[in-house]
Amino acid sequence: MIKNFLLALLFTSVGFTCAASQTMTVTANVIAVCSLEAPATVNFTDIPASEFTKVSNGGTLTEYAQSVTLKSHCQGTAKYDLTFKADNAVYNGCYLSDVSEDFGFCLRIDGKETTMKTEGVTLTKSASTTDTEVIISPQRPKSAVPLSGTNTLTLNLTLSPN
Amino acid sequence: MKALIFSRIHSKFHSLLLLTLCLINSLAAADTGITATANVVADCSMSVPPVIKLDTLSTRDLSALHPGERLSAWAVPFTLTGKCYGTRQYRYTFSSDRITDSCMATGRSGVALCLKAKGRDLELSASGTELTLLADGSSALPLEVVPQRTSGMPEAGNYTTILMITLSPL
Repeated sequence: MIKNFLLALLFTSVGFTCAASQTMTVTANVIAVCSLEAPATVNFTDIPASEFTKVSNGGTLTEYAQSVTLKSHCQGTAKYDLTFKADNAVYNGCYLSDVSEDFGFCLRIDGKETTMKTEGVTLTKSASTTDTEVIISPQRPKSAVPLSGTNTLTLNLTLSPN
Repeated sequence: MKALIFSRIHSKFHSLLLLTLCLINSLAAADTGITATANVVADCSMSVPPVIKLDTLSTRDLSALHPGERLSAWAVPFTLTGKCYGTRQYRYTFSSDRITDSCMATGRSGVALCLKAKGRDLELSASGTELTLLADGSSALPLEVVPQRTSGMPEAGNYTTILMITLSPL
């Protein structure tokens, strides 16, 4: 009887030991999420070709510039990266038009002339700064005056947590 | 056995959960695009002498000619300075309200004023005579006004006519 009791106690204690060794790990991932607001299109007013004769090679037609405000919202990060990359070719820090090497688009970002690169240009900004001002100016890249026609710049923007 | 089954179910659920997390991670960055479009339009400018004055002709000199003959000694050359940008070609159009024998009528009998461009006769018409040129950088177009004897007796007086010139890109 006593032997049975001891055996029962032993099993019970083993059972308790088993129950006590089980652990559970709870993991939670907090991820930073960003959203970007930008106008889909920017339309310039018609530019008479003779306007290009008023600027020297590489000069911009500032009176025809268009301003765009990008709004970056990131949560869960102190900083974010905003990348500008275009399908268009780069020439002397500005983009060439899709149809003509005699029409350029130069970008001024947050008040600074920005030298664009084929691989793209990335700005790192504080998450508390939502606005990025981009001024796009038509440019005379080379000596020739562009022929009449529609010139397009396709600018891709990527916003990601830093 | 029951525990084993539970473990498998649990394991599958876990992997499903991980997959969901991966999808959320890939949404963390935001992409967008801007298409900027600028139209360049061809434009032209031109400078023309506002008045071209011919020397005084005598009715006797005119009367000595047959209709259609010209007084080349009284021709007055002038230059149009036109410049077009954004185009490979441009066009001058010359017109006058009153045309006689492909020249500008003066409103009086006996004399008309004819036009030559680059040394060649321009046959004027009421609807406009076109001269197409290549935009090759040269901007000066040499022209000449030449008096021509027309039918009818020449009369003394001031003869005036108006020539309309339009320069447009092609």
